[in-house]
Amino acid sequence: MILQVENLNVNYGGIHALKDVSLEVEEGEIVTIIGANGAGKSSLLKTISGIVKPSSGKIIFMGQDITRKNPDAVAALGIAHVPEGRKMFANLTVLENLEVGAFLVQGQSQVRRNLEMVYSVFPRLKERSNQLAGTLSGGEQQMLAIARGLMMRPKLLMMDEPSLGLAPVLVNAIFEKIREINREGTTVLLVEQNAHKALKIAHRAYVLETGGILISGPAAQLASNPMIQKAYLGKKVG
Amino acid sequence: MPPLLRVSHLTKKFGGLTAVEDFNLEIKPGELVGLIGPNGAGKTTVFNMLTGINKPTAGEIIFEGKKLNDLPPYEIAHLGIARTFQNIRLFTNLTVYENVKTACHQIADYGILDSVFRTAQFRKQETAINAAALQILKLVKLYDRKDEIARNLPYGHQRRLEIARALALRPKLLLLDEPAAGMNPQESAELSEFIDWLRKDFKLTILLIEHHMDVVMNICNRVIVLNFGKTIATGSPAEVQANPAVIEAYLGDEEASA
Ligand SMILES: Nc1ncnc2c1ncn2[C@@H]1O[C@H](COP(=O)(O)OP(=O)(O)O)[C@@H](O)[C@H]1O
Ligand SMILES: Nc1ncnc2c1ncn2[C@@H]1O[C@H](COP(=O)(O)OP(=O)(O)O)[C@@H](O)[C@H]1O
Ligand SMILES: [Mg+2]
Ligand SMILES: [Mg+2]
Repeated sequence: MILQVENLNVNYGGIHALKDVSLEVEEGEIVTIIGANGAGKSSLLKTISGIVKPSSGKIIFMGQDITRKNPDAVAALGIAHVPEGRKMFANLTVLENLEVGAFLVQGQSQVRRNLEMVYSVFPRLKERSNQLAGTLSGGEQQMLAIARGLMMRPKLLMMDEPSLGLAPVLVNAIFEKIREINREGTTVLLVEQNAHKALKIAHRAYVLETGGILISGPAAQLASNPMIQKAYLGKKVG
Repeated sequence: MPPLLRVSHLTKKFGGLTAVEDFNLEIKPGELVGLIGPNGAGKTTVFNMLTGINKPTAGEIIFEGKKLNDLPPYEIAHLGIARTFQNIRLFTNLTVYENVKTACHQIADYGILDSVFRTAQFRKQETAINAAALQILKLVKLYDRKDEIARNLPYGHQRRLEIARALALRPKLLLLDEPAAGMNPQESAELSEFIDWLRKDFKLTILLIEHHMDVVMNICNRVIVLNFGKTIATGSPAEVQANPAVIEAYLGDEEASA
């Protein structure tokens, strides 16, 4: 078990955003979390990465309790978080953005090795290494956001809606990249609105509804569940 | 019926880059036209020209017989063109309700609120605005969250709030820039129904930029496809979906069959 979340509760003032959420991720898996807007998906990722503090519950990463650690400490242990909405430094180049992503990596030679690895996954970024990030196309920006997360060679890569705002052809490309990254040995925790595609590439899935886990199981099984099809895949059933 | 909007030979250059080239479009009242294409194809730039944010390098924009090319954005808004933004633009520190009210105020200053909202029974304009804002919030199903700070709303709800703000301007032509971004299939299906209903019940004319093909396929009468600023296809949703050039540039193989 690489990640274990136990009975996590998160409150924002009066809003109970996460209610007794428990979840497990095995090493080597792609696990996806799907759910409507406001279900608490981003809050869950933010709590795991230390940005939001839970009111109760436990988060264990590779045997270590990380529940109340700050974001830098969590990142140093090997969890990368690619946030919603491709946040990046628009006025820095692609290369500079990637170097910022490697701020926790020790030694220039290691940074260079990681950069080569990232460029081999995203050759397009190598071509654009001196372009300002703000002038990249939407698809390229999303690739850069993921690449930046990969620069610290995380053991667990968490992504919040990587397909948002991308043309269909790029959505396919991004999901293909996620699969590739996972095959190379990175465990993936994926929050996605595109439930069709997420359930296709994930091994297991959790459905979050108004802050609580509604159902979980093998992704293929959830994809064929009529209730899930109706509520989350937009299919007209019956 | 004469077209509500007629765009001919519209072109926009940014330095050496031609973002939009020889774009042509006629929309009749009540039509819903889709504008699709890869990231960077020039879709938002078309909206920016229609709303006066970017001045066209060449070509003409005629709305209800009036040339818009040189008008500033606020005049275009008052003529009846409203839009939403791909990168959500809300007053993030104000409540949901306040966000819609500030939009209502924009047209209230022109004194047409009473006529369009048929709220003559209210003596005070402020009361009318409050009522109009609340009515719009009910329409977009954000009434229950009206007192929340906009920044704290989930992404998909912020998108609905953007639409509410555009509706508050009571437009004739509504431009929606990726309204379904960040919504799951069920939510985008609901949004499709909502947009279609707006078109029918409010007799709105709509130009829609969207990457969610289910939305485009379900509700658009016609679709225009841009690639590198050029129009590469136009036709019914089914026609463009089967067009090899569109599959190649935009849909990808898998999506076309899905
Ligand atoms: N900083 C915050 N302050 C107050 N409420 C918040 C904050 N962040 C999120 N929320 C609320 O918590 C709930 C879950 O939000 P979020 O985790 O963003 O959901 P999702 O990512 O599934 O759309 C929503 O009701 C949202 O409005
Ligand atoms: N203000 C600007 N200055 C320079 N280039 C711009 C500007 N606005 C847009 N562009 C460029 O014009 C092209 C079309 O962009 P845009 O209309 O935003 O595409 P889309 O909405 O189809 O993704 C892109 O190459 C973009 O980088
Ligand atoms: Mg979210
Ligand atoms: Mg755009």
